[in-house]
This record gives sequence, structure tokens and C-alpha cells, in this order.
Amino acid sequence: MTAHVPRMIPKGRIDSFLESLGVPVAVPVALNGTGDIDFRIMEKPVAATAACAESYVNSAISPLKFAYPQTQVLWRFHTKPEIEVIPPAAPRELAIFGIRSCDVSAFRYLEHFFAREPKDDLFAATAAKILLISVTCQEPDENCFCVCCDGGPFLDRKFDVQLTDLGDSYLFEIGSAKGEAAAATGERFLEPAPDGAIRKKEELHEATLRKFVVTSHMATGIRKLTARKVPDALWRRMAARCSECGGCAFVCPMCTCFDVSDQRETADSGRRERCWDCCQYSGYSREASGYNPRDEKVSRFKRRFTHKLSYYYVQADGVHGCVGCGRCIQACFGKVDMPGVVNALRTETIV
Amino acid sequence: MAVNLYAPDLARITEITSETSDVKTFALEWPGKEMKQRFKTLPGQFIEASVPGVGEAPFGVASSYDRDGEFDITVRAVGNVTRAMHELRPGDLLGIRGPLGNSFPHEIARGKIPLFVAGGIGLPPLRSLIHYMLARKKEFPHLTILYGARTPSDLVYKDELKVWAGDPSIDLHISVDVGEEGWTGNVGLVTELFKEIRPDYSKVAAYVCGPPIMIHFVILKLLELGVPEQMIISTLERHMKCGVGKCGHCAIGHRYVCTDGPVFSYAQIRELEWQAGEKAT
Repeated sequence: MTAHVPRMIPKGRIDSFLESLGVPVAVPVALNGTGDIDFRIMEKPVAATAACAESYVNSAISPLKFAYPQTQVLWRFHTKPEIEVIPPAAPRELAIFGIRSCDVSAFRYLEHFFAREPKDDLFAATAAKILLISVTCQEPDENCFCVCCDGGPFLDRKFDVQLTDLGDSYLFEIGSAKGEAAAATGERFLEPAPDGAIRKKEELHEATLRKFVVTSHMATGIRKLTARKVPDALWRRMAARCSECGGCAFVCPMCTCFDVSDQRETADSGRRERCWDCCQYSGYSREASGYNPRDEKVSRFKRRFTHKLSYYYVQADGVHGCVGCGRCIQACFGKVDMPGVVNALRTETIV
Repeated sequence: MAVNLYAPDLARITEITSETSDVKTFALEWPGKEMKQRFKTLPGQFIEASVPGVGEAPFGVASSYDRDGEFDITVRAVGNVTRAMHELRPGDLLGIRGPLGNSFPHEIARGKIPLFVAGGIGLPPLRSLIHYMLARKKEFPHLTILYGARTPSDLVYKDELKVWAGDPSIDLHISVDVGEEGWTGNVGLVTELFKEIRPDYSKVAAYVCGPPIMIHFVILKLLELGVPEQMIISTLERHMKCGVGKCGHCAIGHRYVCTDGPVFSYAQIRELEWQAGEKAT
């Protein structure tokens, strides 16, 4: 891809730009009551879009749910007069506005993971229709540690379009052919970036890096775990803190495990669907015979962090299994979240 | 072609054989020309069978790919899907995805002594390789088969076992854990059967399939007898849900039993266990 001349988009034009794309847009919205942020699909972008994107750190659930939904129909069936297999509904186009860099990084990992042979054509078809318009983070949350995971807060690549708040306007960067097409469609709302805009972004990036509270020594965690230098007693102490709620897996944008089940809709029709699953559940590896290779909690706990941190996975995937979004810190009341575990692996003490 | 990676094609059941009180063998064929030509299984590969509305479960293909467009699976009724399969009749359709996974390395047994050790419902996947070798007598002139089951009634392929027993190219030894009235054969664990054979174990290519606990003890026995680690071939049993390396349930370390296996040599299993930091068998 050719290098792109950076552009600007005045904040007042964001809604018009999004509308010009002609597709539904998912935007971050504050939920009543909790104040948590979640992404919702708006058939028409709302006026508050830009303001909302500025005022939030990250959503409670990753917007990756649009590419890899919690529950997804794999296929449908009739059983009368004979079995017939029916394709699921075709995925529709969607732009995600305000996605954060960590989730953009996770999105690319999911694309890589599901593209491994044999390719998940259902995921590929869904992801191919999604345009990522990210907004870089300048005010990381107290739980954020993307800076330790190559997950953010600003990205050089992986995004389709990356916006950086420069005051009255966003710096508008293009990172893919999809982003290029979006820029061409909404060309009339964009302006050339003034001299120094990229330098300004770099300064903001530098300033943001100094604001992070959590640090996680991922490389040390990877090394100790891969070399089998973690004492069993430490695994047991960490596992004892896990209440097997599954929260870490369900908020993790890098988690891909799913369960498969059939749902009958009438006596002779229904659907097969997949639903997010969690490797910490005792039934996760249990077989119909009752045999369960991971019937002990500690083996499931070890499994989770081996998947996230083992160098063998890093070799296969090019990345470790964490983008530093910090959601597991919020979800885990046993404090065996990713930075907590990495710290324990490193120091052999549990906070 | 199936609708997507997770959607099955439909095969028709041509025959159902009752093997034991809870085991049936389903002979299947592809109605369409396309699948007949496309569906070629190597010995040791598996399929995912679907009963729409109930679910899907993995089964080792029990027949050799030499049978064009037809194949067998042997199914013990143990869970929801398998119980629903046992309700099916000849002529019914069954959803099939596959063939999936890797296969038994048969080439390592060329010029060696092929030894099969099966426990219970572990014989069906090995049967695919046994058929394959029986059809290639020049390459594999002599097979030794050790087969153990809980009781005489739990032995599968009883008619075929009689044929094998009378085949001079097959040395068949059977044992049951618990005898029954009229049973005059061996009583004891399958590992006891090693007393009845005297091969040069340094030249053995061993194929082991059965419940995890049986595999564990058979492998220990083979190592004790001097079979090299890379010549002990087994299958790892894990809950293979999607069968295509995505759902995560069958993962051990960074390997997926469904796509990297289910067949592994003991040397590979040992390496995998070290990398994963957990026991694989």
C-alpha cells in the first residue's frame, strides 16, 4: 500500500462523514444506571457521536462482539421430510467508530487466528464487512497496560482509519485499503493536515505513555512460563483465587473459545450456534464418557495462562495473547488478572 | 459443498450393525457424486457426525478409504448425540463433516512388525489401518493384534474377529477384564497379552488406541519391552468439539488434537507434555 498523506477532519463533520459511508455505525454509548460504555449500532449516527468518543476510556465489552458475537448462528436446519442444511443470514456491513487501539490489535489477531487452515469462512465473511475507525487514547484508565503489550495507545498500523484528537479536529490516518475506500467516499468532509500535525500526534503519544499506571513485564512472564520455571505451589496459590466465573474470558478481546449447541425452534427446525466458552469451567474439557483431562482447577488455570503467554503460541501467532485492555483487572475479584499473574510469575509473590 | 466450515454434508445410512448392547456400527454412503469423489479418508482420520437438533460428536472412521465413497463409524451410546444416533434407521441422513485430523503413519511399519493394541471402543479407529494393511499384503505381510474389552459381550466386530482369527497373516490375541459364562478365552488386562507374543520389539511399529488409562499402561509396557518412542503411535483423546482447531476444547499446549492430531507418536506426546506443562495421556 502506498503511503498516505495525513488528513484532518473537523469534529463537527464526523457525523456527516460517518453518514456518508452509507452503512450502520456502531458507536460507544453510556448505559443507563452503571455508566458503563457499550457499543451499539445506530442506523444513523447520532449528533453526540464525537463527544462520546472523546469522553470515554474503553467499553465494558469489546466492540469485537460485532465480528465474533457472543452467540452466532452457524447454520439452520429443517428435519422434515429429510434433513436440510440452511446457510445463516449473510453478515452486513458495519463501521465501528471510536474503537480503541487495544481492540483494533485484538481484531487483527482474531482475523489471523480464524484464518488458519481450515479457514473459518463465517468469521472471515463477518470481519470483511467491518470498517474500524479507531480513536487513539490520550487518557488511559488506571487499569490500562496496552503499552506493555504492543496494543496501543496509538498504532502505526492495523487500523483502517485512526483518528487522533488534536483539539477542534481529528488527525485522520489511513491504514488499509478499507480505510482508503472510506476516505474516498467521505472525501468532501476531510481537509489536508497542516504542517506539524504528525509531530503534534507524536508529542501527544509521548505524553500519553507517561500517564500509564499499570505495568506488566510480559516478556519475563513469557520466559518463566515457557521454561517451566513456575513452581507448582505458585500455580496452586494463584488458582485458589480463581472462582471460575469466566469473567476474564468473556471480557477478553483475545479469547476465541466457543461452545456449540443446537437450538430447536419448532419440532422439525432449528439452528446450530456457537457461544463464547471459558476454559476455566470444569465442564470445558469433559467428555461424554465423563473423562476430564483437566478436572483440577489448577490445571485449567495453568491452561489459560499457558495459552496467553507460552512462547510456543507467540511463535505460532506472532503475538502473545494479551493486548493490555485491562478489562480482566476489572472483571477478576481474585486479582488473578493478567498483570497480577505476570507479576506473580516474575516475583513468585501474590499481591 | 457445505454451507460453511461448521455445516455438514449429508450422508445416508445404508446399514446398521449392533455390535454390543450399547455399540452400533453405521455404514454410510454419499448420495451425491461430488462427495463420493471428494471424501477420501486416511486411516486414523475422524469425522464429526451431526444429528440436527441434538448436536455433533467426533468419531474415528472405522473403515479404510479403499471403499469408494462409503465408510463406517462405530458408535457407543454414551451421551445425547450418540443416543440420538442409536435411534436412527437405515435410509436416514446423517450430517458429516470431514475427514478431519491427521492419520496413522503406516509407512513406518514397512519392513517392521506392525503391532496393534486396542482397548474396547479403541478398535474401530485402528480397524481403518488394519484394513489398509490387509489390502497391501506385499508391504505388510503379517499383523499382530492385541484386543482387550471389559467383558466378552463388549467385544466389537465379533464376526470380523473370527475372520481375523482364521487368517494366517494375522496373529490375534483377545482378553477381557471380566469373563462371562461360556467364555474360554483370556481374562485379564490387555497388557497381559504381551506374554503371548515374542516379537523383536526393537523392530515393532506399535499402534495403540483405547481409553486414556489403557493407553497409559500399554505405552509403559511397550517402553519396558524396548519399543522406540517414535515407533509407538497412539491417539490422544480430547473433547473435539469443532474439529477444525477453533473452539479450543481439545488444545494441549499450543497443539490442537483435532488438527495437529489425533495421532501422535509417543516421542511427540512427550515433547508436547513438556511444552504444555501438563500430562497429555
